[in-house]
Parts: sequence; C-alpha cells; structure tokens
Amino acid sequence: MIKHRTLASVGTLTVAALALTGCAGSDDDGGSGGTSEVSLLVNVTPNLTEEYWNELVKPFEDAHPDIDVVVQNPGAEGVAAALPRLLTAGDAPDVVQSMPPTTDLAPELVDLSRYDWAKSGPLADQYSIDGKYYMAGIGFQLQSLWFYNKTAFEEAGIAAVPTTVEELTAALGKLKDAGWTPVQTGGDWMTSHSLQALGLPSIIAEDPDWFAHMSAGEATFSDTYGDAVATYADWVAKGYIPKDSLGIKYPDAEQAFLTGKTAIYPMGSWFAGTEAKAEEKAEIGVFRAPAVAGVDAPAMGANIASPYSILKSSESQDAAAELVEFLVTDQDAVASQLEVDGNFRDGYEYEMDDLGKELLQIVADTPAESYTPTGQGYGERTLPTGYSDEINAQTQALIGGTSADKVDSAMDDWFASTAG
Amino acid sequence: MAATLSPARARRRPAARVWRDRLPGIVMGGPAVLVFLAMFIVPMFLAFVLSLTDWNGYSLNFTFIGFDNYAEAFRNPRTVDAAVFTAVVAFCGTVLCNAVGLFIAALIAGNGRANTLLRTIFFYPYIISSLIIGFLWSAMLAPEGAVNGLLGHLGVGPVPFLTEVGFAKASVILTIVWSSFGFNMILFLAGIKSVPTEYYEAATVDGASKWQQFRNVTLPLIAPVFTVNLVLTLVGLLKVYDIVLALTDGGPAGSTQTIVYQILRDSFGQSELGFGAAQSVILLIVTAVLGLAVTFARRGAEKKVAD
Repeated sequence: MIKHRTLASVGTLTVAALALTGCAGSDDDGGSGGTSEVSLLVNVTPNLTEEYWNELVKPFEDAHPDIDVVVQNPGAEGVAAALPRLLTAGDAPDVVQSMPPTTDLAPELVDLSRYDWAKSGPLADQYSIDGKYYMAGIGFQLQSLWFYNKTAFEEAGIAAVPTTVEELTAALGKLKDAGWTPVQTGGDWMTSHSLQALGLPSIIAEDPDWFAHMSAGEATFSDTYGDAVATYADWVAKGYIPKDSLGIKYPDAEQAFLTGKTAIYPMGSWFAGTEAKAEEKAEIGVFRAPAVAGVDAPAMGANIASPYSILKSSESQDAAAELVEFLVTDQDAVASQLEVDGNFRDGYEYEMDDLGKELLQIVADTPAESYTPTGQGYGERTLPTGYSDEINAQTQALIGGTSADKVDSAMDDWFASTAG
Repeated sequence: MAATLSPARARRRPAARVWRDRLPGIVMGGPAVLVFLAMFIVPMFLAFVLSLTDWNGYSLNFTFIGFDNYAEAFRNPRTVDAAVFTAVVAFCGTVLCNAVGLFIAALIAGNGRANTLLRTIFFYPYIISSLIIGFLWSAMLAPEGAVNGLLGHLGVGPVPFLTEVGFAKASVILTIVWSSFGFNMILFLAGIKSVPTEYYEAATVDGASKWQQFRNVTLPLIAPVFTVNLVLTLVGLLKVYDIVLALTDGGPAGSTQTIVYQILRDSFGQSELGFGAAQSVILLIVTAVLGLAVTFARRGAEKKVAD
C-alpha cells in the first residue's frame, strides 16, 4: 500500500512536472538536532533579510541560552510554497511566519488558546477557528484605505476628506473636473482592491456575518454587493477609473501616485512604508474607506501583520511558544518588525512620518469589532476557494465595460456553484 | 572437412548468443529504463492516484473521492475557459509558427552572409527566456509603452493591447509566435537544405517556376519535418504558461488564463492539489492523443516521400 506521505510528496512534484516539465528545488535545512533548537521558517525579502531575522532573535537567544533559534530561509519559493512541501516531507519547522491559519492548515498547528498573549493579540478573534487561536501576530495591515494627493484635493476645492461613499463620488467628480485622474488603480491583483475598499465598509457594517452568509449560500452577491458594483461601474463610465488601468503594473501604479500624477490611491497601509522611503513625492494624506450614508461604523478591512504559528509536529513546542511570545510582545522586537514593513499597532510606536502617524491614528480609532477580512477572508470568515481571483476578474471586467448587472449575475453564478 | 551441426544444436547456439548479444543492451539501457520508470511512469501513476483524492497539500489525511475532481474540471467555468483559450493558442500558434517559420526558411535558405545573419536574428527570440519575453512585451504593449508611443507619433490613438479582452488574447498569441517561430524556421531550413539539388535541376529543365519547385519538390520532401514541427509546436503550446504569466498574468478578467496557469493556480495558490492533479492528467491525455493524431494524420504525406 502506498503511504500517504510518499504519495503526497511525489504527487506534489508530479503535478508541477506534468504541468511545466519543470523541476523542483531541494532544500536541506540540516538541523544540528539539539533538544532546545527551534527552527523558524520566515519569508526573506529585501526588507526582512536573513541578517535582519538573526539580529531580531538574538536578544531572545541571549536571554534563553538553552534555546538556539535557527532561521530557515525558504528562498525564492517563499513560505507559502515551502511549508506544504516541508510538511509532506516530514521536515516541518517548529515555527512558521507569515502563514495565516486556514481551515486546511489548522489541523497541522498548535492551539495557542492557553496563552494570553495569543488570545489578546491583534485580530486574534478574527483569525480564530472553532474558538481556537492558531496564530499570534505583531500588528495590523490596514486594507480599507484611500490615500490622497493633498495638492489635488486643494486644486479641486475639496476642503475635507470624504466620510461617506456619496461624498467620495462627489470628490472624484471634482477631481476630474479639475483635470486630475481621480483614481489610481492597476491590473494584476490590485484591480479588485478598489472595489473592495468601496464595498466592504458598508457591506460588513450592515451584516457582520456576511462571509458566513455568503459561504453558506444564505445571501447573494447581487443583493449585498450590488450597490457597490453599480457605483463602481458608474465611476468607470464617468471616467473616474481610467479604462487603461488594467495595463498598469503595481509598481508603476504606486510610482504614478507617489509622484503626484493621480489623485486617489486605494491601497493597504504598507504603502506608507514606500512613501516614507521615497525622496521625491507628492504631499500625501490618507482617510479610511467610508461607508454609504447612514452606516455609522464602517468596517475596516485588515490583515494580520507577520503572523506566527507553531507546528504540531514540533518537538520543542514550549521553547517555540517562548520564542513566539517574544516576537509578538517584546516592545523592541515588535516595533522593529512593524517599522521594517510599514505596519501598525496601538502602543507600539516607532519613528514615523506624518502619513504613518495618520495611519496609527486610524488604528487607534478603529474598534476591534470593526475589523474585517478582505478577499477570500481568514479564520472562520472565509469565502469559497477562488473568490479573490473571481472578484478580481470581475472587477477587471467592469473596467473593461461589462455592465454591473452582468458582473452581479456572474458572481451569483459563481457563488451558486461553489458555496453552500 | 566441413563441420555439420545437428538441427538441435543449431537451435541452441543462437539462443545462447541471443542472450549474450542482449546483455550489453540490458546493462547499458537498463539504468535509463529504470530512471524513466522512476521519474515518469511512477509519478504519473501517483499523480493519477492523487487526482482521485481531495488532498490540500498540508494534511496527510486526505480521502479518496473517486472521479469528482474530473467531473469538477469539466464543470468549473474557469477551467473550461482556460481550456478553450489554450486550444485557441495551440491551434493559432501552431498554424502561425509553422507558416511564418516555413515562409522565412524558404526566403533565407540560400547561402550568403546576409542569410546567415538573418537566420541568427530570427532564431534569437527563441533562445531568450519566455519570462523575459513576456515582461519585455508587457512593457512595450502597455498603455504608455513603446508601441503606443510610436502609434501616437503616427497619429493613431492608444490601442488596448493588454487591457481589452480581444486585444489581450491576440497579443498573447502573437507574442508566442514571435518568440517561437525561430525554432520551426530552423527545422524547416534543415529540411530544405537536405533536399538533393538534382531535383531542382530537373525541375528547372522541365521549366518549373520557383513557386512550382517549392510546391512540388520542396514541400513533399520536407513532409517529415512538417510532422515534427507540428507535433512539437502543438505539444509545446498546450502547456504554455510563463509568457502568459509575465505578459498578462491571465488578465484582463481572467481571459488569457491557460490550462497550465489554471493548474498551478489551483494546485499551489488554492491548495487544491487533488484537483490540480486531475487537470494535469486530463492535459496529459489530451496532449498524447493530439500528438499521436497529428502524427498518424501526417503519415500519408510522409509515405508519399518514402515512395
């Protein structure tokens, strides 16, 4: 009989091989095998270098001489691709970073419910699954934000930032009349970001269980998202969202807004990190994505920043828990991680510019219950697999001239075939 | 005196020789067969087994769900759309790559430095990484890219090469043809060069024009090359992925997603390895059937050459 592990390992390679006739890389982590060794699988990026990670955990190692933290670099494939491979190969790390728990992954993770630092951390409740806490993160990545060019607003005679969708629509009209490209969006993954920033603050405020209702087939897309789709189609028709946006790549869109070529940019809080590093830039402010008039507490789309989880297969779970506690509660460690990636958490400040302070204020002003997932969701608030791609494709269709009704209908059909 | 062998002995000696003759082949070919079995046949079998499961890539406790993944592949609108676009790419790409490759090969088949230089130039895109070609054309065809800039200077308005569904599909196909026809051209060139010059001399004596020579001498004699070109291009285009990833990333509105793009997205982006394996097996079968079908269909043309 074929062992599941063998079948799974070979199968992973085969699917890729059959599709691409490519080849898989190998990855030896070669641990030294000490009882107090804790392996930490992290995403290594231009900001979060391997050196950075080693420096980050050094104070922990100094304070815990019996624990040796081994930082594992998954290379170009990243944590998301490496973890399944390591799991099926029986070589999983003790701690994994930047891998938010899902219902698929949860059975492989340690329930952290017995740790207060895990239960009281940022978005802890939102990411819990069946009342269990599988991750602890360092802060928030805000999603429902509209960055704006202050010069554009002045030229268009907009004295205050919009607080409702209706005011936002009016502001876009003024910006267009003043000769500005009102909304900066782009192709690839970023297209649907603007539609979600437009719709979710109202949709979730009116139905906090929207994700569950949609997943169970108890609500329809057209009934709940239809108004936002209609407004978006209206923005496209009026030229507030340029039809050639789909040909613009994310870095180009970011650069265009940063250098003052466009007026409003719907983007996540990580944009503040880019803005802080830019030398030549427009004067930029930010306001939270508003809901339609009459909705008092707009929901705020947010993701956890740098979530840490402990693998069930770990033989050093207690030492791993001590490491995660350090990473998500130590003042210096948290502030350092927040600063490097432009994330935020109330009570953990670092040196930031005015835009960063505006974002920190938004975090401070947002009640915990207002946070909501975006895209496919997380924790128990998840939509059927493939939603992010589908909403992105349909938003691109809207920009391409497809009517709001057709997009609603296509999304209803998609949910009908996947939900319930 | 000449030695005579009894019939029984005559039968035994060849048998021993046969094994002795076979031994080097077994010793030398065996490892290759083992590698082939271990690296292709066994994984294919395991992929088929996985395609019958709901494996998500994380848990080892997957369950067998029969042929549900196969049924889902035919129901899923994204997979169906991707399969249709892949078929369009494969058909148009195969026709265009071979037509352009043959046309240019016929033009530059002669000797001379200019032809040598042109062969190098036309073949060059083929040796560049598909990802680089995708990114290159993505920049050139962007709304504010070089091509639209040039059109602007000529008084033509911007063309939505990558932002409108029809244009994006055409852009993908033409970029693939641009990057691939050099391979077809080289094979056709080799075929054309192998045609004995006597045939052309005879045709010239008979008063045949250049076109008649090409149609009645060159084309029939390079029929086997045609078959190889058709099969290789078709099979290659059925698994096209990297150019799409770099050029359009499957957009706009998912209109340029190919079946391999879909397989990789479902398998590793959506953690549906079982479903991805099912699509891979279907693709494998379709590729094998089409490859064999083209080969058999071309047998007639090749037979004429042999005769």
